[in-house]
Amino acid sequence: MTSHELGADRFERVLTESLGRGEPSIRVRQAVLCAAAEHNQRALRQAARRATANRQLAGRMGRSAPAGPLTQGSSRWIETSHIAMMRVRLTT
Amino acid sequence: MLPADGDDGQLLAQVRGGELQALGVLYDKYRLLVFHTALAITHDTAAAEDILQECFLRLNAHADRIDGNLPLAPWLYRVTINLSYTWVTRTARRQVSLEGLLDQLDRFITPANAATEHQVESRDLRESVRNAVFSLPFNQRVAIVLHYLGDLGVKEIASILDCPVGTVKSRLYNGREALRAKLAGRVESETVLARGVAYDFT
Repeated sequence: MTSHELGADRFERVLTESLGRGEPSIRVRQAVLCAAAEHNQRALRQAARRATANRQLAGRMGRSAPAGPLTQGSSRWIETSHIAMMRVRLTT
Repeated sequence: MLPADGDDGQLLAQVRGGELQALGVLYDKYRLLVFHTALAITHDTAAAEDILQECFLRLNAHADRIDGNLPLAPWLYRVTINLSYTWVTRTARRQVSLEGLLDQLDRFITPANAATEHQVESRDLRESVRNAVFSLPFNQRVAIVLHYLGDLGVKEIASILDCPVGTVKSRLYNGREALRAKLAGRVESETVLARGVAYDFT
């Protein structure tokens, strides 16, 4: 049951009105997108390193390793991150 | 009520694929939910912005572990509360609220005729309410914030906090009674002054 369904009295209305306030700075949005882009690229590099290591290991063991899904999609990741970074720079 | 939107699952899938534009859309949709909740709990704007940032970075980093078929808001509330708890326990004792200082400074700097008496009283009352909420024990504060700010029912709060419904009810009851005790004189006198009506606490 919500506060409205309970029949909020004036005290409760004052409480509700007092708690919701303000707006976060636009810089937070920019920081989130920049840090996320950096994180994605780092994750991509790690995945590529893992895929290379797997291929080398498979080669040493005389087997062929399947191409990792992240290495196949790597160009799209970089492109998407790059567009986001550009957008962040334009709005800064 | 918790916003349930089928688009969230699709946006989450895009975030999993590294599409930052989808993360931006989710940020725009839920930023106030996270920011207002964190601000009501921490009573510190800078901390609330830090929590907002960390919350969406976790969303990006752990998107593959979030069930896209479920509403996203409970997950965001849970992360916000956990981050707020960490902030409150680690730093609240050491930090002086800059916001409180700025508010006090503002009262000295603002010319007397800049705001009507009613506006000043209303602002002071809201600040008193926020201070009273901030003085509650963490668990009661979270229950009060989720119920009155997030407009969530006891079942939804219990699900977010992973505790029994009865526990949420008792936290809400105790928190509400403590607030009434703290604010009784303040709310009553200012409401009477500002609106010319008596205040009923029953």
